[in-house]
Amino acid sequence: MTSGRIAGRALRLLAVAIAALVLPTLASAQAVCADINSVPGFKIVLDDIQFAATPPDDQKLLMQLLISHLGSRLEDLPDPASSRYHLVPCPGRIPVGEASFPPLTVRDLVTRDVLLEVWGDVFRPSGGKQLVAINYVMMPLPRDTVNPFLQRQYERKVVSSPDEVVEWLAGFDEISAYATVGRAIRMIDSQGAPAYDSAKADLARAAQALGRAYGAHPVGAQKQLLDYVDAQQCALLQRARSDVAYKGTMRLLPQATVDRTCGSGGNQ
Amino acid sequence: MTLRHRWLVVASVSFCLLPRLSYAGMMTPCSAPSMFPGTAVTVFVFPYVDHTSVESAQSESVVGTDLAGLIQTDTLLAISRMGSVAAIRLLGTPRQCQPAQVLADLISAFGSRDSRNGIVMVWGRIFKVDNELYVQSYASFQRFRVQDPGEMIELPFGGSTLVGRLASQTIAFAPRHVSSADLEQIKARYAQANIVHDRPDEASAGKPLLTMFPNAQRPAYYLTETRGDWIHIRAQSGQDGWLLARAMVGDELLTSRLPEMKFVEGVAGYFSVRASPGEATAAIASKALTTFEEGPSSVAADEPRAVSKQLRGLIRLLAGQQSDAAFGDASALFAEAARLVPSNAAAGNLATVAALYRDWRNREATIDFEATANRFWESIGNDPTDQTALTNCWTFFNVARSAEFEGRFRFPDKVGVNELAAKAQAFKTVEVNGKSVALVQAKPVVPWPQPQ
Repeated sequence: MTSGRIAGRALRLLAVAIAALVLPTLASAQAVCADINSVPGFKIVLDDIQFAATPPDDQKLLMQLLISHLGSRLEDLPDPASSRYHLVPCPGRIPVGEASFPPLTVRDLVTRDVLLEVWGDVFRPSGGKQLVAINYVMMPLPRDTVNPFLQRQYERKVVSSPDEVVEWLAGFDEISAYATVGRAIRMIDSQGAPAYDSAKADLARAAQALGRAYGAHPVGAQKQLLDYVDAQQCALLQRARSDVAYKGTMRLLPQATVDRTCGSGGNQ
Repeated sequence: MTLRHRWLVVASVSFCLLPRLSYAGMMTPCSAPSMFPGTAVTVFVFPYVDHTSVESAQSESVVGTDLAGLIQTDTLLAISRMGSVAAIRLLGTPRQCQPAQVLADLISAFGSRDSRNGIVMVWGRIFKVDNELYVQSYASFQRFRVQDPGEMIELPFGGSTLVGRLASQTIAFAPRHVSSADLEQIKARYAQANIVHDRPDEASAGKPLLTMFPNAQRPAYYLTETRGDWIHIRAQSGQDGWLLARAMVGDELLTSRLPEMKFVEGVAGYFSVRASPGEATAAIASKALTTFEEGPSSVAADEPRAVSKQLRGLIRLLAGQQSDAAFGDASALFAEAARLVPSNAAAGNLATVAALYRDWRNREATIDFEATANRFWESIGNDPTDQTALTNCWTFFNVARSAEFEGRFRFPDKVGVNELAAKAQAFKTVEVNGKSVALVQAKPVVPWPQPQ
């Protein structure tokens, strides 16, 4: 990214941040997205993805395409109905980072089973490359242990049309992996021992998907998240073996299997 | 008697009166779906839903219907060498054509508690932005009955049975980018494919397919011959002719643009081989699956590729009469599948049971107890709700501690008979999702043939 573009983005973020302070309507997702209150089950909130230099009508179509793509990936998978994800589009909402997610707001969203909020920017192509920045907030993750805010910047060769970027975005396993981590943590917190088994399966699946998305050399926040997921798997195995309320199969696992999970970098 | 019941009676009687040809096609409404009930494998193709706009997503789209039509005839041609098969195209609005609901209606009308027939359902979505189109397909396969327990391999092990399952039987393929020119070509090709010719030659005289079904007859036909890209069909009315079945998009085969159709062909082949193992069908099915696996990585994502490899492994076992060589090849394929989806407990479990059985049947070999148990534990750790892996692990412990099989296992020094007995007992006390577990394996609808 050039310094000019960074400065431009910073100015825009500053302007939006000021607006967010002044305009209470931008304060939270619930204020904008009524579906958060009406859709039952686990939710992924999709805010606007800003496509640079795209007319408003085309932008609407691109968002519609992205919602269809993501909806088909997230909602049609053969999970049991009770644990299925629901995509909640939130048109017009553009969070401004952590400032848009004060702890009380997050707690309220978590009680409504919001697992993840996503928004981002697709920048104007430059020098044969195009930058895409996507922000994720994994609501149920504890801020004192792991940073639930994650920004991923993807640089890719310029493609012929913005909708190819949309297709490319929707092809990621990442979004469902972040939601899966959130679901596991939410279920452990809200249900306790009865949720250990499905939470463990979620964490194992998420670890695999994140490992694939980040490649051999994860950096900074990626490494932190991977370590967190590993640590949660380890902690869950240990908790399952000591929690008298839990009577599931993890009690049977030999110490060596627990050690292998906990030895892969996740023991906390 | 309702109109629908009358229709079903007429359809059933007509089916019984017609010669039992081994492959067939049909167009049927989602609101009152029909089928050929005795067919060993049926592929149902639903209209693709056009999500271009709110309105089109709620109506029966032309391009979605045409695409389904091309897929149906192309699939019928592809699977016609696989024995008793049918490819049926569903018609209706997205609301009417919900795959799960249509399947429930079909089972209610034509199913039986002991049906062993296989079905494959294909559905999808079309998205359009500016002049660009996207096609995303889904496939699901099962036996034609309520509460199908799923496909399984059953291997005898010390008086008990080890069971392996597929990683998944419902697949979401990645979206495919197609152009608006492709859209026009799909329509044009469907217009061509919808003409029944006198000879397998586009220059010969022809008439629209639906004219073969006068007086609201059920639009069902039987495939009596294939020649190149053409299929010869005969309707209940006695009329016959040739349909151009090989679907093309421009100069490319439809299956090149949508390689997931090769997966569908492979699944149909798997069901066919399960019904009647034969090397020719096995070769066709394996080739289709291999073609799918070698397609673009965006289409062949890890889970579909893993399932494809597992199906190839099962086909190899059946066609190879479960010989030592077949178990060697299949075990390698199952292991590859497990590496593709390392957190998938079913994939890990299938790889473990196949490798264990491969070694077990060699009476000279000793089994590494700890390594094998650890592979089962890994599957259970990945998904503590997987009762198949849990029961296999329990079976493994019981056989390993049995005096009858002393010498077949190599134990670490620290493991004694008492430890094994205590562990085997502990299995009986666990719960899954808060409920007690019966350590009994589920039975597949079609029992896996006993290995030699």
